[in-house]
Parts: sequence; structure tokens; C-alpha cells
Amino acid sequence: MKNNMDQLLTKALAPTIAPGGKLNDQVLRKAKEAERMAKRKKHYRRFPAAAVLAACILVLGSITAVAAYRYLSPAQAAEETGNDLLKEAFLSEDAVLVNESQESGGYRVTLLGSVAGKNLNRFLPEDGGISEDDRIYTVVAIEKADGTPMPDGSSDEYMKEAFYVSHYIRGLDPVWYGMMGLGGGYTEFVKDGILYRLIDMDNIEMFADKGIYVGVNTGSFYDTDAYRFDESTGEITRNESYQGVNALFVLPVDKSKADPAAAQAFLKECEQSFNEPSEPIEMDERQMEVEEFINMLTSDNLEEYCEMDESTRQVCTPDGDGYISFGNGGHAPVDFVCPDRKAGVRNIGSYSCSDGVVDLNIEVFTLNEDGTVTYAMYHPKQ
Amino acid sequence: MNQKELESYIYAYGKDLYSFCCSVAYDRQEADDLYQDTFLKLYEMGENLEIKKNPKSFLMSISVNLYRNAKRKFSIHKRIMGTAMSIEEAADIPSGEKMTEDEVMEKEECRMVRSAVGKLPDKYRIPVLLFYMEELSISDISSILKLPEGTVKSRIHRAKKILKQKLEDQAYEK
Repeated sequence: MKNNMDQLLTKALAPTIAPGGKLNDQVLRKAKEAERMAKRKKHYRRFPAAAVLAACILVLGSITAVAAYRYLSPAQAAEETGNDLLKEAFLSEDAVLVNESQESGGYRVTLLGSVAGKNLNRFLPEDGGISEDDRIYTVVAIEKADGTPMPDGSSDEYMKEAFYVSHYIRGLDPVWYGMMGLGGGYTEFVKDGILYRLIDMDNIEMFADKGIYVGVNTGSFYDTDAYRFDESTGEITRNESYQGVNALFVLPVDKSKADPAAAQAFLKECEQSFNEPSEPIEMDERQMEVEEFINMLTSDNLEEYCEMDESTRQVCTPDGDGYISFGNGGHAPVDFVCPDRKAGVRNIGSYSCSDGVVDLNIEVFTLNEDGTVTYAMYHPKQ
Repeated sequence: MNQKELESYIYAYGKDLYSFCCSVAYDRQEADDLYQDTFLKLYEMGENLEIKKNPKSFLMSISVNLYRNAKRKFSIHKRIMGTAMSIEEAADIPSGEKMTEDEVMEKEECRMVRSAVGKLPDKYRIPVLLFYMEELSISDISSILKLPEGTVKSRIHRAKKILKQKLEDQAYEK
């Protein structure tokens, strides 16, 4: 037995158990339900570059067929998203047109085409981001195998069934080297009952000699149950017993675009970025002001800088489990909102604002001598 | 907090959190519930900037609180040997993988450590998991568990002594 218990514990307890894609999907779905998000017909979503779950794919799907003429072409799909530069790129000789379909999990997925290039991204993320310069773009069409139309933005069913679409590289673990890890994002829309998804991520054509896949699986994440990654051969394959969608295509990219030296440098850069600690979410100036204001507040000076909104005041009695209900649907253990358990001390809970300190709402909890908790919303004095 | 931020937290901390949940929960279903409830609680807390200051520590504090509350509710659930085993099964090597003798020994050693940690009382187990598994600072753990830093240090120290003794006994028995 090793003497160094610290080393042993660090090694034995290193986090190794990843949550399944379905579990993460469930979390997101429930969060979505709670928020009752406004649905959009078209939207752009960007995967955070920091972290990575994984994805894997496999070669040749269960049923492969030539796609019918009824689909939009990749150029038309790009046009639908308002990206004329990309439309032109899809009409150029560099574009790879595939038109191959596979069926799984009750859906038919058709890989329409792909193109890569610099500065083709003319639609920015919702939060305003920097348009990456060298990207690979691929369009897939997803439809119900039974012919019923896919729900569009006006339907309550829209986005209930999530799909994760990504490129993968033969020989590299899809958990790391997919949309999540390589700065991916997508735009989608429904037209004539067919969902079109346009994905983009860092250009990986330098791996053309190894092989590039395009995978579509059920869920919002790469699902390790959907595909198998063979580390010894580098092959990604479909899990034939998977119940959901797990289409997998080989993208017929021009092998002359392979660049082993660039690929090596790319991998090195990826490894570095994967090992970097997660980037803190940047705060803008107003958020900084809010944070400074909140940090300055104490139980003693709260009244000096803020005033209570009397209409929000509630005296909350803890239930049998020590939880109180407050505000509009708030629910929390007393230990959480009044961690010091000292009567009379005002504890600042969560706070929110849309324009900074001027419209800041601050939840304040005060433990009373009789064990009840007074909840009230405070606002900064003007 | 919006969906995008929630996703970024899931990507960044999902594995860390889930490993913790699996290490404290009675079974996989409870671990899933704890994991899900932790993120939903985080989401519910919305714009609280405390989240952004030290997200991992914040997330773990939610999870520890939820776990303690759930434990109070379901005190009938007693941890049994099988718990540690199921967690290891989830974490461990695919069957059929070829390993050298050293690798086998190392895996076995890790399995024994995890099993021994799994049998510690919560007052030792949770600080150990937060410190070694989640790599949180003593100060963060102190804040999460609402204990003085000295108490956290002494519990971890005491836990290591218990573990060392258990592991030596097991090695001797073998």
C-alpha cells in the first residue's frame, strides 16, 4: 500500500463518471419547460468552446439512399439563413454535395453537403460574437420517416425532440473532437415539414486523409450510447441497438486538402485549450457595477443604500423539511437563505436586473426569533 | 441564467458533479436525481452573480445541500456495500481490456480506496470528496459545509487516518 495517501486519494477519486447525454437532455428540457422559452423559427446557437462532452459516429448508416430532389440544396439552405456569402460558397467548386439519406429512430436524416472556407460566417451569435475566420459548414435535413411534418416555430412541439449534429474526425475521440470541443454552432429552420440544420465549426479539412464524419444523434449532446469509438482503429460506428437517431455519414472531402503538419499543430492547440481551466463568464460593465454594489451591502448598511418594497414582504414559515416558499414560486431551505442562522441578520439572496444597478431587485431573507423567515425585495435608493 | 449558460455549466462541470453525485447517492437513480436537481436549482437561481464568481464551488454547495435534505427525507436508505460497487462499475474499465499486471494492481488499489471512502460516515466522506475529487480549497469546503476551516482540515486528516488503517488491514488480509 502506498504511503502517500494524498496521491492515492487524488488518483482514485478523480472524476471519471460522465453523465449520460439523456440525463443532460432531461436537465435542459426541464429547465426549458420551467422558463417557457419563447420559441423561435430560426435561431443560432453556439456551443461553448470551453467544455466538451463527446460524440461519436459510425460509418455507413442502416439504410442509405439517394436523397430525393425535394430537399433544398445547401446553397438554398444557406440563403434561407440570410448568409449570402455561404450561399455562394456552396455554389462554388469547393463545395461537396452528398445527398445521402439514412433512417434511424423514426427519422430520415439526409446529408446535403458541406463546404469550408474563411470568413464565410455572416450571421453572428445572439449574444454578438466574433465571426470565426476558418470554418467548415455542413447542411443536413431531418424529417420524420412516416412523412408527418416536423413541427415548426409556431408549434408547441418545436424543439421538443432535440438533435445533436456534428463533424467528427476518424482517429480522434468524438467526445472531445466534435462541435462541443471545436467551437461549433448551428442555425436551423423548418421548411415544408423538413428541419434543415446548418452546422459550422473549426475547419478540420486538414484531417481529410484520416476521414471526416458527420453524425446526427438524438439529444442536445453527443451520446456515447449512440456510437462506438474504437480507439485502436480510430473508427467511429453506429450502435445498431440504439433506440434513437444515430445517423453517421462519411463526408467525401478532397483528400488533397489534408495537411499533416497543420493537423498536428491543430491537435496541439486543442489539447492546450482542453486543459485550460474553464473561462469565467465575462461580465460587462453594468454587471461589474452590480457586483460591486452587492458586495458592498451588508446586513447593517442595507437600509442605508436600499429600500424595501413593502408589497413584496412575506413572513414565511418553514415546512417539515425546513423549506420556505417565497416570492413568485421561490422555494429554498432556511439553511440556504439564512446560512448563519442568526435571528435579525438580513441575508442577501439572489438578485436580478436588466439595466444594471438602476433596476436591481435584491431578495433579502431575515430569520426571525420564532423560526419564521421574512422575505422582501429591496431596490437601490435613487 | 439562460439555456446557453446552463449548458456551459453542464459542459464544464457535469462530469465533476456527476462523479460526486454517484459517490454520495444510494444508487444510480438517486445520483441522476441529485445531478438533475442541482442543475435545475442553479438555473432557478438565475442571475445570482455569486454563481459566476466561483461556479464550481457554488454548484457543489447546492448539491451538498440537496443531498443533505434528501438524506433527511429518505433516512431509510442505508448505504450498503453494493453502492460503492455500482459506482465503480460505472466508472471503471470496459471488460475485456488488456492490462499489465501493474495496471491491474493500480486499478484494484483505486477500487479499494473508492470502496473505503464510500464507507466513511458523511462527516468525513463529503470533505474528502470535495477536496480530492472536486479539488476545492479548504476555504471553499468550509463555506460549503458551514464549518470552520480548522474543522474541515481535521476531518480530512482524520478521514485519511481511517482510510490508511482500513487499506492496510485489507492488504494484510490479502
